[in-house]
Amino acid sequence: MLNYQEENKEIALEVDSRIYSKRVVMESAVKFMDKCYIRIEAQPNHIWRLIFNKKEPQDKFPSNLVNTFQNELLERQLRFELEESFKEIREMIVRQAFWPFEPGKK
Amino acid sequence: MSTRPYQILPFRYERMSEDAVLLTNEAGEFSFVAPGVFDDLINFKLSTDSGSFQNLKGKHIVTDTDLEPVIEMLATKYRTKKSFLKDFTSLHMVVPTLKCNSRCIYCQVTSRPPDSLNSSMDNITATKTVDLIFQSPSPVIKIEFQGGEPLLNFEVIRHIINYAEKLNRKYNKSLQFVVCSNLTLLNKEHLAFFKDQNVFLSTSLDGPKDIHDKNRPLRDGSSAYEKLIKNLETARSTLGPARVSALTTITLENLHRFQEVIDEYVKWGFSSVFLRPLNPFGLARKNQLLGNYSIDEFVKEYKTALQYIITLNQSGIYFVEEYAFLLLQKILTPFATGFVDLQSPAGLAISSVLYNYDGNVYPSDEARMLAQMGDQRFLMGSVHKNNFQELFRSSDVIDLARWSILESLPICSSCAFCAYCGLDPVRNYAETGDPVGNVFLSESCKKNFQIMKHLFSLIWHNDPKVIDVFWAWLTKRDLTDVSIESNSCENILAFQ
Repeated sequence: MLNYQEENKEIALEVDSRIYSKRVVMESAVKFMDKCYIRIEAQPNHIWRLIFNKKEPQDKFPSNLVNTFQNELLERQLRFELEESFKEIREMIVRQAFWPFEPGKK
Repeated sequence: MSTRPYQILPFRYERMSEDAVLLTNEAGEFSFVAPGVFDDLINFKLSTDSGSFQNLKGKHIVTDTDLEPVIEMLATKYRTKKSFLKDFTSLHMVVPTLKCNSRCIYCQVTSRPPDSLNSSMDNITATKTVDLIFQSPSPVIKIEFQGGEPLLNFEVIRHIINYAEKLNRKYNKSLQFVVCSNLTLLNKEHLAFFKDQNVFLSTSLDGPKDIHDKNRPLRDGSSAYEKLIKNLETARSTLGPARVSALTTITLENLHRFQEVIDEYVKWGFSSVFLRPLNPFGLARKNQLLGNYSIDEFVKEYKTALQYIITLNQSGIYFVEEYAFLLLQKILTPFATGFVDLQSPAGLAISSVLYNYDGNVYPSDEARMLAQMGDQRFLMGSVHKNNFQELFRSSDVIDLARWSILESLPICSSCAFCAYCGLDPVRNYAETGDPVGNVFLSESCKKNFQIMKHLFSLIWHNDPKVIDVFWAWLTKRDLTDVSIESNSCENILAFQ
């Protein structure tokens, strides 16, 4: 579950790092960089804290930012876990495709 | 194998709508499933007897058999998709001159007036360029003359073609020549030579007269459109219509008039158009044309134009939108397309290269445009100073390939359209200052993603009238022949 606070200039979200990996949090944040400035901080008790700032003072935060980001986290985490489950097979396919060339060998 | 009923093979996905999830694999095979089926699939609850499972198995997204033969099959398909790597550089662009009689408002190379000095290739540079071209291992060599206006240095074009033909008696490659010209200076001498040497012409036509003359004015103030059309007709009658093609560049002048642009192409006998937005180079940037329309606006107009083109086909006029055609080739056939802008790794140097009028060598036309703007970041070397190995096996060329392997980039590597897409590190650098940058936020990504999603949506909706048109494009057959076979998306998928 995400905790968040919204003040005038920023929205702060807390994400449980036991559920969402660092890579997932960063990739999710990257997708919002055109809309906001984003800072990520490691906090005690397995928490990633993300602070979203408006790019210009007169800007409004995208509507439904928190819920959209939450769903993005879920999708990214699912993709990450799927990737982990079959990445060895993917490597075998690419290795077989380019056989007898091996990476790092001339 | 584990106790699970099946093995999930590597795939990527995109939620197309509430009703459909698109799954794609390394080889570009794809399948649509309902969200409930997707959930069952990833939780290993999909019945192996179900039609959904059998369909996914046929697309190599799952297997309940031995893994090794499946990996071999996918590896073969993957290798086919990456076959552009095998033969190395086949497209060699040569800039015989930077001089030009046009002053296009979006000129990406900042061309120079016809009387400018030190802007043209000499015969010594030309000879060294051809010598270098023939060191490419590719059995296919396409030499494409760019500019400026190449016809302003016709003597070097003639020298290069004659010398290349002479060298080719020894190398025996498949040799093709293209001259990219505004056609306003085309004369009988040029045409006679081009006919004799089987040269293709590529020109620009941005739309009806008012659009074309506004986008591409001539320096002397006369109508570029009138001269183009007059010479176009002469070129077609001399060379044959199949040897003359055209491109359009989209500015605010023609963005909301795509139908008129397409009608203009049909009117003058062209069978295709390539709708492409502005690139961030040269006068397009200097004249601040880039901010005139957003990529979202371009894509909106593009979708409307594509529908119009499909309607034209349905009315009996065979007409292709080239960008959609390239993407459909990648989506619906197992083959590589040779289009260097949609490759992973990018075609920079390894598929195409550019030799400038002064002998400098660049991995792409965009890298040359950047150099014209004062940034030599991507200069590979010179025909006067460097041999083939030094130019093409440099760490700079390897870096360009490494930066553009989508399968290794964050976000791209998990994108459902990864197998069909490509990125340009030179363009990324021009837009963001970084060759990789935040690819997801780039204009190219936005364009490619939205157009690919739209094409997949059309395939998913499976309107036979639309699919038949795509089938006609892919098989280069008449729509009436294709329709007789009552093709639907199922047959498209079988062809894949």
